[in-house]
Parts: sequence; structure tokens; C-alpha cells
Amino acid sequence: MNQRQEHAAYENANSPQLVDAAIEATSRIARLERRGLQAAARGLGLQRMKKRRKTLEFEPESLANYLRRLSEAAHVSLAPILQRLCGSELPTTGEWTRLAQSVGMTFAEVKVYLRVEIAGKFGVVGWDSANRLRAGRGGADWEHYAAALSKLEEMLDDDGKEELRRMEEIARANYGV
Amino acid sequence: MHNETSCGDFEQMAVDLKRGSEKACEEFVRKFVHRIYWLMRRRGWRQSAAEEIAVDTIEKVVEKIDQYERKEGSAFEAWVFRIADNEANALHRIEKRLQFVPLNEAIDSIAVEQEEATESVRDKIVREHLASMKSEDREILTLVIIRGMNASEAADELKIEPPTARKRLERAKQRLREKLEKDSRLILDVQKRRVHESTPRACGI
Repeated sequence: MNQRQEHAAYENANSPQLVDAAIEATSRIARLERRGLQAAARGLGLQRMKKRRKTLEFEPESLANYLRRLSEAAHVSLAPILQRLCGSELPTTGEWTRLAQSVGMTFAEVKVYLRVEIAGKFGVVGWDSANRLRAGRGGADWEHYAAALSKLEEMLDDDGKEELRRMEEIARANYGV
Repeated sequence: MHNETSCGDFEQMAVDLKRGSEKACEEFVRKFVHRIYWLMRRRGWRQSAAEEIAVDTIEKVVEKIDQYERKEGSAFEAWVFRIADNEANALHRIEKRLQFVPLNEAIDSIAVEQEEATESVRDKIVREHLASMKSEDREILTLVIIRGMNASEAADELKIEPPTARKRLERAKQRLREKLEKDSRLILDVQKRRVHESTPRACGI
């Protein structure tokens, strides 16, 4: 076998397994580097957060803002979140209103939620619909929403109207309006 | 896999990391992630575990860089490897399967060292061929092999239809394979390895 033939033999010698192993090597090396870069970015993020926390200017976000942003981001109404935060399964109107006030909900918003609650409780709308109504608003255009809900009020029987009036009184007293 | 870097360069890297420089982060990953990986492989950790340790170490070092202080007789490199050891110990405690081997007692690491050298050579050869391919082939192969995308993701990136991307990828892979099959350096690399295997030698980090 002369040198040329020998070289030709080499040329055809690489098996598919060897070729695959070569490609796999590059693939693995690149993958590790990619994961390393992602890890470094995570580490850098944590490092920056720690530095920010150490500076005097840093102030933790208020609970009210945090909850509002949370409800906006998740497209969930504040009402069910607040109910859970009250710490009891069935919070009183007073407890609920005080918490709503402390996180910055307006009286108009509270009135809307109370109507939805009563409508659900007295069977004017099903619980599913009531839940959808509760979760349906994020904060804007409350007047318009309240107007639409006033139709629910008209559908309530006398007991329902009485209960709503009583609950609104408590809320009004808490808000001082 | 990694270029020679002096201690002074590493100390500068630590300073830049403390400043939160993204460029220093990238440089740090390129210099250390493979070294940590191969160190752990030599210690007997399997591939996936060594990869986890390397990645977790990178994150921990960047996160805790403020705690690093240069002292007499100690260096950034040593600090990084200490963190890697801690990460390995933590994983070992969780797994309780592999027998942990202390830092200075590198066991039968010759095979792993050869594996490291072989992978490095193979990677170099593949990247050389990739660079010499026509742009259409190079683009899709780079996305799939180097950046780890699948054909659909590559299609999105290249703004082409997924079936087109799949066909293009198949053709490009075939052309790369043909190039690699003809590259005598690959087979020589295997032969070199066989010679290495019969020559025991000591190894370090």
C-alpha cells in the first residue's frame, strides 16, 4: 500500500459513531457553557438584589402596593385575596372593610364587592357568576362597573336589600363617608 | 478548553465581578465552567452530576463574590474550587451514592483526563468545519449544535417554516458528517488516545 492509498484508507476510516461522538462533544461543551452563562446571570441578579437591599435608600414596597400589583399581574380581583388575608373563612364586614381600606381600596370598590357578595349569598346570581364578577375588575372604571351591578341590587328581595344596607353602613362608618 | 491565565488576571476578574460586570461574568464562565466540570469528573462524578456542580458553583461564586477577600497565600482560583468542593459535598450528602474522594487524592483520573483532551480536540475539529460551511448550513447547525435549539426553535429564529428548517438541518448535518468522516485528525485522535491509555502518568487539576 503506497502513501496515497494509505491516506485514502484513512479518509474513509471515520465511523458514524466517531462522527457522532465528535458532534456530541461540541454539543455538550456548548450546553455546559450556555448553562454556566445562565447561572452567572442568576448569580448576578441575586448579587444586585443584595446590594440594593444594603443601601439606605432601599425601602420595601408597601403591602398595599404589593397586593395591588399582585392582583393586576395575576388578573385577579383584590376581594378574594383580602378575604383570605382576613384570617378567617367568613370575615365580618367590619374586618373585611378595614383590611380593604388599609390596602387602599376605595369605598366605591368596596360597595361593588359587597353587592356581588350579597347577590351571590341571596342567590340572585350563581356562585360561579359571583366569583367571576368578583375577579372581573382590576381597579379601573369602578363607577361604570358599580352602575352595572346596581341592577343586581334591584333583583334582591327585601332581606337581601336589608343585609346590603347594613353591610354598606358598616363600610361607610369605617371609611368615614 | 481554557487559555492560560495568570493569578493577577483572575484577581482582576474578581474585582470586575464585584463591580457586577456582565463581561467579567462571561469571561469567568468561559474560564471556569469546564475546569470545574472536568475536576469533578476526575473525582468520579458522573457527567450529569459534574455538570450540575459546575453550574451551581458558577451561580454561587457570582452571588457571593463580595465575600471573597484576597489574602496572603490564597487566590481567587482556590476560592472558586473550594466553593466547587462545597457544592460537590452538598450533592454527595444528598445522593450518598458515590464515594467522595478528597481534593488532593485524584484517583484513576487518567481516563478522564484523556476524555477531556479528546473532547477538546473533537470540539475544535467540529467548530473548524462549522466555520468553513456555507452560511445557510452554518446558521442552522450553530443554532442546533451550539445553542441547543430544536428544529422548530431554529425555524423561529431563522424566520422560516419548521418543515423547511427540518429539511435544511438534515442536509446540513449530512454535509457536516461527510466532512467529519473525511477528517483524518479524528481517527488520529483516537489512535493517540490508545497510546495514552498504555502510558500511566500523574495528573493535577
